Amino acid sequence: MIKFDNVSKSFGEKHVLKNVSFEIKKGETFSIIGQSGTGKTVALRHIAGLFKADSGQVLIDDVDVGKASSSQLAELRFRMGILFQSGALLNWMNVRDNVALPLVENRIGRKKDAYERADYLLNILQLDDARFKMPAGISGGMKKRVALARALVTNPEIILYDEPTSGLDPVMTSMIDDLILSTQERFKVTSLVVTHDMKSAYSISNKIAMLYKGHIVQCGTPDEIKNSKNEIVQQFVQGNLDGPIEAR
Amino acid sequence: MNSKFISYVKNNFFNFSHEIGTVILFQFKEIGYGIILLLKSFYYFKDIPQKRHEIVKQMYNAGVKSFLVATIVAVFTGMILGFQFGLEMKEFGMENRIGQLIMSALTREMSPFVSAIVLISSVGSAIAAEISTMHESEEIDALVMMSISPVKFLVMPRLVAMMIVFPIICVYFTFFGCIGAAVISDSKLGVPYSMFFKYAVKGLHFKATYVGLLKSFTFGIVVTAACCTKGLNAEGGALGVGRATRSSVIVSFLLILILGFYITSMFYS
Repeated sequence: MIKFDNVSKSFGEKHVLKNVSFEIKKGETFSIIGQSGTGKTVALRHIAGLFKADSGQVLIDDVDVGKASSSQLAELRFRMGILFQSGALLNWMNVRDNVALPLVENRIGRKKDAYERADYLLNILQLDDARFKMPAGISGGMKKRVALARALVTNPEIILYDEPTSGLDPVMTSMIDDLILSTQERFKVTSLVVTHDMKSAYSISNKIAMLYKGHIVQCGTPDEIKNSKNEIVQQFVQGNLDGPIEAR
Repeated sequence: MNSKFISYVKNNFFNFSHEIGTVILFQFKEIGYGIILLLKSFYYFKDIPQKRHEIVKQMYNAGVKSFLVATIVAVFTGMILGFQFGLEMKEFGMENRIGQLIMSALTREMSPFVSAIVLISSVGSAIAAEISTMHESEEIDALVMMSISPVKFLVMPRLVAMMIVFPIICVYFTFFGCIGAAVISDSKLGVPYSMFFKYAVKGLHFKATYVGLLKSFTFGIVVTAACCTKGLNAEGGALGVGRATRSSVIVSFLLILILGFYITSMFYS
């Protein structure tokens, strides 16, 4: 469904992605792990069409995202939902308006139906009480759940999660992991998760790829990653200070 | 020693040229971005009915919330003008006609300029800060991902609101400027209110009025375009937000000064 084919990307002198290739099958939850600043979010943004590759291709159902026309891109984006690291909720709108926004602004169905759908998702995500609260008045975990509800409101086939558990306490982290799993089961979506939380990655992923210095070091099932013989992978998953990865 | 010095000068000269070139290129890029942003906003005028609530909200934010500061600035500007012009005119025994001069000065130049400065400081800077903060917190990307055009959603309603609010504040400014000048004329120059307003009406020329309003209308467009451009191009976290806000104010001031001159010379030369 999603294919990264020898993708390279640089920002000025800094080469962030170097010939990165991987494939995500339909219905799969694929995680990209790696140190901060290794290009995980950059990879995710290529799929969303927010960045264009310097070389190589990013394909979604054989459509090259980098070469897609603006209408094709809009169509592709409509099949995607994205959960940004910060939640990216609009601060002047209440939670319910934020969730219904993609349907209301794009005039998909009646306004009443859009709000019913928003209410349904907020109910599933246990946010009934927060419906009329402003984003500034809810906790970090709630913001992530609201952002997830907004990502799901258009019934997307693909969901991109950018550091979904960063800045959350362990209980909230487990709850978000549960949500990702139940979203996958309930809505049969294909998910790409960018994270450096190994516990999360093991519990939610079908496949994990580790990005290091712009390259994919290893790609495999959670068990394969856990029992990897690769020194870099082992150091990262165990969080050791000694090894080839330099702390920065 | 000599060759070292020459290579030092050479290197610095090339670095300096590179820096200058980069700055010029960046400025051209931003001007182009601003023009395209403006054209895209005009294209989305077709969606004005859909965004009418947002436009009214922006008009309230830009207009109603600026009334108090505009009133204070207008009254004091009128008082200063009345005092300064009045003292000069008194020497020629012409102080009775102060109303005509004040009205003429306000409608032709002062009201469009000073009201624009008030709105740039209060509303333009807020637009740049709001949009740049949204940019930094990934909200603009989120809009793009929801297939919502940031130009239609953020820029167009602000542009329409400012196109309406700038001329309204300009008229309001003229009215309160006259009142301020009338008070000073009566109390300091001995020109009664009836005399002041009799000549003030004489100073209200049709051409001066519509050119003044045209200036305000144009200022509304360029100020919004400049502030939104700066906001959407902000980079570098909180520092970037501050930079975008500051440069949006500076660019807006320069633009209204330059444009004001050209509009005046277009209609009066």
